[in-house]
Amino acid sequence: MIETVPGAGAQDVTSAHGRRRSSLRHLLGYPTAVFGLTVVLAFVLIAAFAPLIAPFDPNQGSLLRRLRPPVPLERSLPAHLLGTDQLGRDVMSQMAFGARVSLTVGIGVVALSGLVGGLLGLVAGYFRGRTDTALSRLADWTLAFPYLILAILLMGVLGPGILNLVIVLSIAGWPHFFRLLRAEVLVEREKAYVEAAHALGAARWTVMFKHIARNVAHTFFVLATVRLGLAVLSEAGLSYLGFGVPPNVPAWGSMIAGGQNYVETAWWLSAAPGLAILLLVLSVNLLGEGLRDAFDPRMRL
Amino acid sequence: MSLAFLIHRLVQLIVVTFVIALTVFAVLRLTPGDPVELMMGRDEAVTQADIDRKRRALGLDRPLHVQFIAFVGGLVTGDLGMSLVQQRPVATLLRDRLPATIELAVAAMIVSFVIGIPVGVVAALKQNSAVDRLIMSLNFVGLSLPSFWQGIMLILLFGVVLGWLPSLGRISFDLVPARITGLYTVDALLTLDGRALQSALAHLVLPALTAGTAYAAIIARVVRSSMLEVMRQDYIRTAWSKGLRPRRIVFGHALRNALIPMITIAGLEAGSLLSGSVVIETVFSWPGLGRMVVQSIQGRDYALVQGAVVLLCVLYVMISLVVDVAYSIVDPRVRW
Repeated sequence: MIETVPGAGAQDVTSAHGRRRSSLRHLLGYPTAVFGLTVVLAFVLIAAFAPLIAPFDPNQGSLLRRLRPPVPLERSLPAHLLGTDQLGRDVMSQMAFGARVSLTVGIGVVALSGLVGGLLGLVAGYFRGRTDTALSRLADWTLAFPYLILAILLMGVLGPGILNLVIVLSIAGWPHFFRLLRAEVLVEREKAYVEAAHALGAARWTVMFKHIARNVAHTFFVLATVRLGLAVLSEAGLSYLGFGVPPNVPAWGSMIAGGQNYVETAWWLSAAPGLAILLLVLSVNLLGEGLRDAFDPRMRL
Repeated sequence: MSLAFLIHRLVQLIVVTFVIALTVFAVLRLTPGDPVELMMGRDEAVTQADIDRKRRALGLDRPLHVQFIAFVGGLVTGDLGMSLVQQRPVATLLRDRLPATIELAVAAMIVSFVIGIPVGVVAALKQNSAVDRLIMSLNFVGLSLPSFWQGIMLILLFGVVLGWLPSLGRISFDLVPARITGLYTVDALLTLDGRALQSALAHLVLPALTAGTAYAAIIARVVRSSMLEVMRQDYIRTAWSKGLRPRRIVFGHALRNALIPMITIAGLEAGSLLSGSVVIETVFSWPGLGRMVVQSIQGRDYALVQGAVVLLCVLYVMISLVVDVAYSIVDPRVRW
């Protein structure tokens, strides 16, 4: 579908590329953003190397070692740094594998809903007319549903699972990307460079994907970080309610649900995974704030 | 605000409600597993004839479009069918649960406004100071907190360690509240029952705090930025040059206008609290609609899921209508 017209896009490509690089360097000037980026990357590494980091099988417990507290506390075992749960499973190992669920679902949701919502927004904003009306109506109807209720309803129907979580949260979340991109494209398409590209004979799809898409990309990435944080929180909430991952998959949300029954005696079971969620989401939000400032200080979402 | 706008929005409301009802209905019919067989269990004594009879009694043997028309007709007349599991009319069950959700939502909104507005004003007046930076940092934490975890940590601190507040349910087990409005605090006030009022309020504190935190953070943020903008306006400079006292300027002139965006926030908050209290109601065993949605989906109680989800969605859509109307009344510059 994408036609390339030699020469027509070259100027834009280099300038957009150059701006992106300077934005990245600019981003490193924000300490909070650097902190956010570092922590997010650390979580990505933990998730990627979970089998190496986790000292134990997250699903294998020993009833002799159940409900042991984290390390400096009384009755703790040196092998279990963050303690053990009601079945004697190692909390740290579960946490490491839980990072996989949170990041896979979070990134999966942003990728899928961003791709679908972004493309449709681009098309609707660029072509307008009946396509736009139909897509906008569909987005409005989706947003008329309360986000979490829609997610619970669909998860109840599809059943627990990581892929299902990605699909369901993307169904509920794509209109946000759609609306933002559509609004941005409506403004961009009236600008002189678009007119110039058309005058030079560039095909419509080329103008849309090569010229306009590059100029709305920064807005897209800022929204993507916001939605990433929300997707991680939503996954945790659904897993807490029992609509998220299957029972044998360790996820932070379901760990908190399991730990809630022991909150009076074994507080670490619910405290530890919650802190991990908070740290991850906080870092994602800080990174997003930094990106926003770096790309465009006047931009407000 | 014109009459045409109002009519247009009402028609929209009806269309959206219909779409919601259709979606919920379709989604539930796509679910694998037959509700009647699930309900009757895999008992040997249950014959196919029993299942067929039950299905006929519930109207589940009719073609799908007939069932859907019956469902929509029921929505209009307020007859939402019978709960398959609890064997009671869905409408009654919803009516019993709705006040609990409303009471929690109202309490959470009060919490978020009482915390969010003053904090936002202080941050704006002390822009870029240490206080401002501290507030904005806490703000970020508030926005990143998983609410259910926050609830459990509050239970741990105030319920378990300090023992100050009850952490589960709406009222002590030994108290039977008078049922007038269904809002326990209001009913206790109406009947002048001091003990019930105290217990109901104590039970409200932790859930309301949990549900209100994220919105307190959002409100503080919006109030701060809108205060900063308003304080730069000409009429504020005029007020200063007239020699008015600072308090008068801040509260009498600036805050009144800075609070206009609060209508949108309040609407969004009310919508998400009424529908999104699912998680918090589960944490605190709060007997509201959200918890009923979770339980009915888990129990595959279709009639109840249908009724509860449609009710929550309609509430959500209606609130956004009210917000739009309120906006055009408060800010006359907004016209449709």
